[in-house]
Amino acid sequence: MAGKPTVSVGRVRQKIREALNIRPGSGKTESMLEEMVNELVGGGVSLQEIRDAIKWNHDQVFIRSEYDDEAEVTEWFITGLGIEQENIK
Amino acid sequence: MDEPLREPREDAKLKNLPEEELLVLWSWRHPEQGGKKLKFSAIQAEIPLRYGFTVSGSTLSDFYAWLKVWKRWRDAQDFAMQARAELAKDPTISDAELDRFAERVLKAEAAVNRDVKGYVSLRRMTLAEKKEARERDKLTLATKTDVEKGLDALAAEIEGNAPAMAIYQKLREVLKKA
Repeated sequence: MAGKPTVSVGRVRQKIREALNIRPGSGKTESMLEEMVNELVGGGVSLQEIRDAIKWNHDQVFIRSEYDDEAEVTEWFITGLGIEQENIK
Repeated sequence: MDEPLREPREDAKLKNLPEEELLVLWSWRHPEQGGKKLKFSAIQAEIPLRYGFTVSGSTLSDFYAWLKVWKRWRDAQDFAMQARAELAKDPTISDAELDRFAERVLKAEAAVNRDVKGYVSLRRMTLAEKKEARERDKLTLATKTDVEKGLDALAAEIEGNAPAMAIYQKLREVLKKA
């Protein structure tokens, strides 16, 4: 049985937006988000949890993706709606 | 029906402070050599006096975790801008290329573990540009060869015609310089 996540799902979802809102014009890859979110919460968030949180935020249109042909990676950006969500209770 | 009014988040009030103020807050926990590092409780007491709002201890702790990441990205941005300025001394590099280069440097520098990925991406960009330049050179060479062939044919055609040959020689000189 999978162990209970040390960081709540809601908190990981919010930290994804928080990370993307830092220099929002610069896209961040999944691995960058994994690194940033873990730094923001003090560690304990798995790559799968990061992926789930990215998907949830994407479904809510809080974030969007772009493929960088040169670096051959998908980058994520916060949307206007995501910034709004980030600033209010 | 109207949605109930939603209030700004406590941490958003801190994060949305001007950059100069964020740097002040940073310096309270990361003083210059010889300076005194403030405790969270002292900062928590100082914030209402300086900014007119209160924050909880947990918000402040979260905020400082965010500020550390923000500061690293800010420093990386400064570094990328310096690198861009240095590269801009080469007048053959376009603004768009400089921007792309600066963005790659920013991302490579902002990584906590500064792994090779960012620099691999930078290198890939340089290699892609070199490949593009090589293709361009090849095309120019091929075009020149075609022109050379045409000129040889022309020379054979105008052989014995002195005025035409004079113009032909001038044409060859121009082509050599191109």
